[in-house]
Amino acid sequence: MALASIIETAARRRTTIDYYGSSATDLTTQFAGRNVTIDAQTLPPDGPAPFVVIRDGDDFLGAVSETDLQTLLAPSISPPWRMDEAADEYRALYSLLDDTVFTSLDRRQLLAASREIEDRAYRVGQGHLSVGFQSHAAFDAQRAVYRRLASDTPLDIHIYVVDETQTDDMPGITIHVEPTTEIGHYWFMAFDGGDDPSQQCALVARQDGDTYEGVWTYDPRLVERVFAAVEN
Amino acid sequence: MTRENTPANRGEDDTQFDLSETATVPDPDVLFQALATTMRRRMLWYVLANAETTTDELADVLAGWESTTAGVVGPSEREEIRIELHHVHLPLLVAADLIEYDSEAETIEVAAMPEPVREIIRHARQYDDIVENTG
Repeated sequence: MALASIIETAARRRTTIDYYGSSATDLTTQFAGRNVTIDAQTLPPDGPAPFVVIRDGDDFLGAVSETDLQTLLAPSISPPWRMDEAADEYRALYSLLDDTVFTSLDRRQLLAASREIEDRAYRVGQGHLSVGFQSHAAFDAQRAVYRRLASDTPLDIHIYVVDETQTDDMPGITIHVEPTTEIGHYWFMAFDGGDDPSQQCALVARQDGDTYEGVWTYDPRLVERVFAAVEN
Repeated sequence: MTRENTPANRGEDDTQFDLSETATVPDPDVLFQALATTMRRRMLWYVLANAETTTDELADVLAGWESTTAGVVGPSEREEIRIELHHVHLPLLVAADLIEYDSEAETIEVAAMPEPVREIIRHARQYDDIVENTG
């Protein structure tokens, strides 16, 4: 299970989130990820608004207010070409928590993370974008987004689906019908960054009942492994 | 006035400073110079709220505090804060006798100071909030 091994690899990274605030936090529940440690420190109420400091081992990754962090955890969804001003802020947030394995992402959070990747691909405007859909219906729901991505850009888009789907009206998109169980169990997406390798990103999530365990990454080695897993 | 009868006389005492405690009484010019920047007001508030801290923790807190109005604060901005702490703010606050800094262990403690000085530090902090919320 090549896609599973990507989640396993990411899970070995240790992310620490130090919470500073005057009241209790439910971040521990929200970050019920296997590789995240939450430390809470209580500040007197006349101090700053609550914030978190995120680190990978001893390395400081970033500080962000709890309000902004919650935006990431309960995102609003905009299509890629409408993210504009919000995009940079989103990107900074996403990069703070890349390679963090979430054990309880819902569809909305995954959709938002997917939008971040689609937005990058749209902005870079060329390169290779591979996306897996767990069902015909899941692809249908995103058909308009992908039609727009394909018509506005020369992106090389590859869609992986488990069954035959109506594709005649989608020039610029290559459909791969992959009747393997792995494709059906995963929500995945990978973008190679086109001519800008720093824009590489990928998302892999495994469905578990109504929620997903998954990770997004900007690590070129992991992105490459997603492509390899999908193309094999 | 002794510490014991403070609560009973509170209303009356709120308006007058008691500097009779044994702690160092900072020179007013030095004290208000220490409080002259946002970063030092935040530092002093934090060391007052925590018995002991480290330069790394203080840099984290100041970066986080910044993020509450400025969005995500990344590693390079946090490094700038840490350098500024080391070269400017910590030496100044040590010289003002407001903090004690162990440069080897990189630990910071609030210096012994009379309650009125603590009050001034807390009020200076609150004033930042008031200005921010009305501005």
